[in-house]
Amino acid sequence: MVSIPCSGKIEAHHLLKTLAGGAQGVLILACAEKACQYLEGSSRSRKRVDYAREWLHKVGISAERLDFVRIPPMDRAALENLLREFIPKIQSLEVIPAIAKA
Amino acid sequence: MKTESQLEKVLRAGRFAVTAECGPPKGSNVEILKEKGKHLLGLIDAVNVTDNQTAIVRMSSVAACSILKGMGHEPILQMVTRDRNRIALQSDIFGAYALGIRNVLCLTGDHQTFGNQKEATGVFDLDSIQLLKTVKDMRDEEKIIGGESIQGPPRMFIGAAANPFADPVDWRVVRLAKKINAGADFIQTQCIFNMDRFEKFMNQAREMGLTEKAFILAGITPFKSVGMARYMAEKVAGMDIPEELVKRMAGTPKEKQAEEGIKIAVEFIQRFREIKGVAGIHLMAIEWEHKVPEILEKAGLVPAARN
Amino acid sequence: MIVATLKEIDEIRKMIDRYDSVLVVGCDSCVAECAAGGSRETMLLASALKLSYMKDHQNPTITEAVLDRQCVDDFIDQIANQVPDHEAILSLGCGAGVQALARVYRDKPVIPALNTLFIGETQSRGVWQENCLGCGNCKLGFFGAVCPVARCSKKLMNGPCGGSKGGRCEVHPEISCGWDLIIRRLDALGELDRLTEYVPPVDWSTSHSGGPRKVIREDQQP
Repeated sequence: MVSIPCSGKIEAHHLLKTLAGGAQGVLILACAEKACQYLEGSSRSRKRVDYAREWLHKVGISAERLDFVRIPPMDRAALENLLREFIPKIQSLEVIPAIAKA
Repeated sequence: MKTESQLEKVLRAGRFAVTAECGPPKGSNVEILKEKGKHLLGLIDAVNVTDNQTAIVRMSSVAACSILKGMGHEPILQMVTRDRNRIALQSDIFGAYALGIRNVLCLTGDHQTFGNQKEATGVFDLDSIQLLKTVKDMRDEEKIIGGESIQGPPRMFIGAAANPFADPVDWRVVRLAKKINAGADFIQTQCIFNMDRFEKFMNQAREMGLTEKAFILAGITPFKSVGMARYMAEKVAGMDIPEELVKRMAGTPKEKQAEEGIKIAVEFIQRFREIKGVAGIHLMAIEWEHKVPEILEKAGLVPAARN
Repeated sequence: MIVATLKEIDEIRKMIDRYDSVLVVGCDSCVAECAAGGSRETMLLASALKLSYMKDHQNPTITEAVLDRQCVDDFIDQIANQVPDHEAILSLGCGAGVQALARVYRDKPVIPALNTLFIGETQSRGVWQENCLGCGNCKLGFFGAVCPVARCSKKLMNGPCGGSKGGRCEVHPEISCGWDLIIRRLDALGELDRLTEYVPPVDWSTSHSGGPRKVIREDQQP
C-alpha cells in the first residue's frame, strides 16, 4: 500500500513503472469526485489511469491490471471487498515475466 | 484591347458574356475531353479549363486548353498556386500563350487535403493575388518576378475568382478590390445561390467603382438533385445556399428534380441580367456539360440573342 | 517552443529491437513542456518498453536518463559516463536533440522516439498551437501579430481565401482561420489599413528553401 496525498498526484508513468518493476496489478483508490479536497484531483486521476491503460493496451498487456475505484476514505470493509475481487482477478491473468536486468 | 482574347472582345463590346466550365478527364483520354467540349462549342464565349480542381489529379489544364482550342474553343486557363512554384507558374504562362491560349484565371486552389493526393506537399509559393500581379507584370511591363525582361510577353486577358459569401463578409469586397488592383481584367464569382447577399456585394462593388475597372461574371451551378443541393450546402467550402432553395428541390418529385434545378438556374440567370455591373455569367454545370445548351436556350442566352 | 509527440511503441520497437541495451534519454526543455519527452514521458516510455519486452520474454537493458537540454553540448555531456554501457540511444528530444546526440556520441546509433512537429505555444493546458514556420523573414508587425505563413493553411499573404466560414478554416473545423484572426485583431487595433495594400511574393530564400540554415556569431565564439 502506497499512500499519496491525493489520487490526482498519480500519473501514467508511475503506474507503468510500478508494473515494469514487478507488480502484477495496481489498484488505485480515490475519493468520490465531489469529495475531493483539492477540487479536481479525483477527476483528474481517472483520466490518468485511463491514459495508462491505453499504454498497456499498446504494449499488449491486459488493462485490467490497473483498476480505479472511488471509495470513502477509511472504509476498511469496502477496501477488503475490493481486494477480494481484485487479487483473484489479477492472479487469473498470465503472469508478466520478470525482467532479469534493471 | 489589352489582348487578342475573344472573351475580352465580347466583354468590351458590351455583350452579355457566357463562360462555362469544362473539367479535364482523370486520365489521358482526349475523346472524353472532346465529347465534353462538343456540347459547349459555339454556345459560349469562352471555356474555363479547371486545374486539378478539388486537388484531384486530372489532365493538365494547359494540355486540355490546347486541345479545346484546336476544336475551336476560346479557352480560359485556370491556374492554381497550390501545385507549382513561381518558376513553374511563369514558365507555364509562357507555354500556354505560345500554344495560343489568351485567357488565364489566377487561383490559389483548394487545399490538397480535399483531393486524392492528401499526402502531397502544398506549394503555395504565391497566392492568387500575387499570381495576378505576376501575369499582369509579364504582360504590361514585360518582366518576370524580380524584374528581368522577357522575350515575347504573354498578352493574357487576366481573370480572378471572387466568393461573395465567405467570411469575414465585410472583407469580400476589399479583397475583390485587391484582386482588381493587382491585375484582374475579369472576375468569375463562386456559385451564387443567395441572391440578396450577391446584390449587396454588387452594390458595394459598384460604389467602389470596381465594376468600371473589371468585368464581373456571376457564377451559377444548376442542381441535379436535392442530394446535390444538400451536399453543396453542407459540405462544400464557401457556399451559401438558402434553406428555401433546398426545400424547393426537396419538394419536387425525384424524376422532376433535374428539371427543377435547371429552372432555378434559369431564374437566377434572368435576375443576374437585371443587376447593374454583371457583365455575364459563368456556368459551372459540374459533370453536366451536355445540359448547357438547354440552360442557355431556356435563359434566352443562345449566341444570336446575346449580340 | 518545439512541439512534438511520442511515436507509437511498435514503431520504436522496430528501430531498437536489434540492440541488447538502450539508453532512453529525455529532454527537459521544450518537449517536457509539451508532455512528449520530459522526465515523466521518459519514465513512461522506458517502463512501457520494459513491459513490452517482458511480455515477449526478452530482456534488454533499458536505462533512463534525462538531460536539461539535448541540443547543447554542455548538457549532452551529462550522460557521457552512461553512454558506453549501452549499444544505442533512444532520444526523446526533438529532431535537433537527436542529431546533436549523434554528433557528440558519434559511434552510437541514436534513434528518435518522437515526431517533431512545429514551433508553437501552449495555448491552454493540453493544447499546443503551431504559430511559427521559422521563415527567417518575420512580418508579424504587418499582420497584427498573427502569422499568415504559419496560421493560414495556404500561407496566403493576401488572404483570406474563399473557404473561411465562421472563423474556421476549410481544411478542418478545428483550425481557426488565420486570416479571420488577422482581420479581427487589426480591426480591434484600428489598423485594418495595413491590409488594403498588395503584399508582394514572399522571399523564401531566408527559409529552408534557401538550404539548411546556420547562424554564426563571432562575438559568441570562444
